[in-house]
Amino acid sequence: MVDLSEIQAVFIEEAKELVLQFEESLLAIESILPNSDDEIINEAFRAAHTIKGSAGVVGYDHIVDFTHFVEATMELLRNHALNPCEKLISTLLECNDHINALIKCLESNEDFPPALTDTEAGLLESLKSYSGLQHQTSSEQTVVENQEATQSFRVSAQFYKACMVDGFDPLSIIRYIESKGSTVEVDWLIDEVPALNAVTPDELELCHFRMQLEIHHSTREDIDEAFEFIAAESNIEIAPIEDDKKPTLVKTDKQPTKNNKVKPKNPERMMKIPAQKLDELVNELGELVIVSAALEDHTKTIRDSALTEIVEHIQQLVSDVQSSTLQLRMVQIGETFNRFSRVVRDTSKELEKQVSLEIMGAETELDKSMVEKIVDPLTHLVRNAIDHGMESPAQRADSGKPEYGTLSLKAFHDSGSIVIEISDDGRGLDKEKIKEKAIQRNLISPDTELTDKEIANLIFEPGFSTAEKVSNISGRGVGMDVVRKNIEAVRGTVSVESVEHQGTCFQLRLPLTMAIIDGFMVSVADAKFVIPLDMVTECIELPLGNGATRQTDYINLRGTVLPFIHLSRIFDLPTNPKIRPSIVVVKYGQLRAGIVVDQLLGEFQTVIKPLGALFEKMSGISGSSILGSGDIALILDVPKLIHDFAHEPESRKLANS
Amino acid sequence: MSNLTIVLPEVLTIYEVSKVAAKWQLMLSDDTTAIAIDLSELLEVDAAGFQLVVALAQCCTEKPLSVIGVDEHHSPCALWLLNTLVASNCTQRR
Amino acid sequence: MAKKIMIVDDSASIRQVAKMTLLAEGYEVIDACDGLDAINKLDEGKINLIISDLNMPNMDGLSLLKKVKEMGQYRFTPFLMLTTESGADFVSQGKQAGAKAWMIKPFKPEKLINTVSRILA
Repeated sequence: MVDLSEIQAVFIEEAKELVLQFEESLLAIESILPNSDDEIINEAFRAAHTIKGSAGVVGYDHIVDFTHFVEATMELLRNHALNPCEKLISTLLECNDHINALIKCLESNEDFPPALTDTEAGLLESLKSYSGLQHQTSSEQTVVENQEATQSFRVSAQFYKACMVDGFDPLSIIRYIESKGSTVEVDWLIDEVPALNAVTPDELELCHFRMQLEIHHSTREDIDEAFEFIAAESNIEIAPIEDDKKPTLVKTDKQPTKNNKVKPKNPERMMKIPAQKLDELVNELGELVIVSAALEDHTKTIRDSALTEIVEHIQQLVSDVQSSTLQLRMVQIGETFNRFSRVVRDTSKELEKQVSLEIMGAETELDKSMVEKIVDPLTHLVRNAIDHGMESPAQRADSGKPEYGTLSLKAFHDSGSIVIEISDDGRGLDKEKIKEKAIQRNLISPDTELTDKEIANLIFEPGFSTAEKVSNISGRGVGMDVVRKNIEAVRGTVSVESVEHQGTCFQLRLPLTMAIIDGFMVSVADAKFVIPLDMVTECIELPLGNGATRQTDYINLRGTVLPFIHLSRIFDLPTNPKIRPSIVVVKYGQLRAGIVVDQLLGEFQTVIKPLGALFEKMSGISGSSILGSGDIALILDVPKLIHDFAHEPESRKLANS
Repeated sequence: MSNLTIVLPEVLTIYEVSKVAAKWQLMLSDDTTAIAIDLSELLEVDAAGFQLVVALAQCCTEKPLSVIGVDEHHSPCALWLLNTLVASNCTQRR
Repeated sequence: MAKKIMIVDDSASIRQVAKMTLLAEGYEVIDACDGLDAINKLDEGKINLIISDLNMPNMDGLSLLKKVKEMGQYRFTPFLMLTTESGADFVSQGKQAGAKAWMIKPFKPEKLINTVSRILA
């Protein structure tokens, strides 16, 4: 017997993908109403059909039974017996959600909650109203076990040419009947078979013999089944012994349906790999990188040009393998953005706003492990934009804006990060209100001077919410601070810019990969640190004179303020007055700072090993790395450091510029 | 007086029947008096193949077909063909 | 010699269940995810039975059937079609194109074994 538990995982993953495909197709159908496109309808049909088929073979009859009606409705659309309309598509979308819920129950091994039963009944009623589909509680697979009494039959069979051409094997038919426990006596009526020397070979392709069977202890059903495949090309007469002759099996001829053209999908061959295997590979690769770096170091001490050349070659190969492997983890963000079509549609309908979604940069790639982590914050931001950002159509018309608001999701790469922007052309942030609230909540003091940008970003502070009523969508308990925490958890940052009456733009910055880092190694006292190379813009020596000393907190770098980050202070390390410090200028987004260090140790590539639980709370460190020598280097969390220690309010002006 | 032994090919189905029939026709001559069919190579046969063998059997109603080359370990279809031919009174078991 | 069966279906679940069911019955099994894939894998030796879904991307079941019939060594290979219940029209099309048998989806593993043994008996 087949081991179902093994198959369940495959089915669930497949079914989830199919549910997504179905939703995409349904949304596509909706978007071109009142026109329709046969290809898209066929795609949608296939998704439903495959869900039903797969569920059937793994025995999840509940899903089969429900999906059956969805599939039947899609079939009606496919045959043009029914035309798509917005209401129908909405219903189908809800049905798809229901299927998803069923799959989730399956996945978590939970019983089917009664609330879903009501939903289901409601959905089936709706579907029925469109197509007059009959309610059947049994799928046609649950054949009622007919405890028919067995009988005896006499069967007379005559075979036509088509039957012979198909290569018919009378033996298999007889064996099948026998396998059900019946006995079969065969009479071959061969009198009419011509002698070989009196016939042309072609004639022997026609059937000149007949078969007569006397079958005992069998059922009409079994016999029908045995002859099922050749019934159309033969004349089978089955008569129960004792009764009159029964009519022969008749096959009804129907018109074949229009041959549906199927558009070939992306011809690229894909392979599914468990994510864990990929992670292991990346990890091992990281170790390889470390070891090969140590090899290179050691080789430098041995002056052997042939050896050096080989090692350089190895380094190059290792680097190539590493890039290729990291590429495997990258997925296009378009997949994630597409999910939001549904969110935007539902949210705008619910709030009676008109919003159209624009997606740009869908091909931008990001690490797969990052994707799941940002879906929630993105969803929140999208809902929030529609809820608070977007005005109602009437309000928009009043202020001379088009009734349809635009929400755009944009992604692009920028100096080693992936940037995602969620912008809307709505009412923008009310800066006065924000400032008031912040003062009220003691987040800032009343006389603090802040730039517009700083005011806007106050919304990320914990405990902040200016919504008058906590709406179902975006208010309750989930604030911007949670969004920020989620993003920072993946070493990203979020910020906002807004112009009143014009719109708001949220910007997320995320690292491209979470596994391996190209870094610049530095040391302070005995401690070694790694600074992400993509954030390093230049290295300079601390210019003494101009009143600058080791204690200085900032310098004038070509006319702008460069605030300092003293690692010795932050990490409580001893300073050595004999050493002239260096500054590593780092940049993150619009912000810059200079990290003060004792020594510059050069470029360095390493695997980020996550910090143990004990050190996770340590501010300013995002991970650690093991050096070829066995030492440990701490990887600096530059964005955090800049934010915490070098974020200079504009009010701090230079004495002389 | 000649004895003809015909060895059935591995596969004898509708697709081979026409060719094989022609071949066998050439092998038959007017003074063939006894035919033995050798089933030792037979692996696959269908209704058409069966019919062909029957047609062969119809050629020698005087001296029926004898079947050789079959034992219990043989292919199921060879056994079946043998038994069927016997049951149809086409042949004698040898 | 074990009989070799090819199962062609774009659903991974169905391929897996069919494969495991048939393997347990002592058959050898090759699987393919659509018609094109099946054609590529057909060059690997004798196949005793092809089981194929009708609705697949890239090359559907009927096209596959017709293509297979044109291929020398496989033109006698029996073809078992998988179809939805309302696809009875496909059945007649399939029979015309040379399919030997059909089975309705969704099906239970036992039914698969049953039907396969009828064809390969």
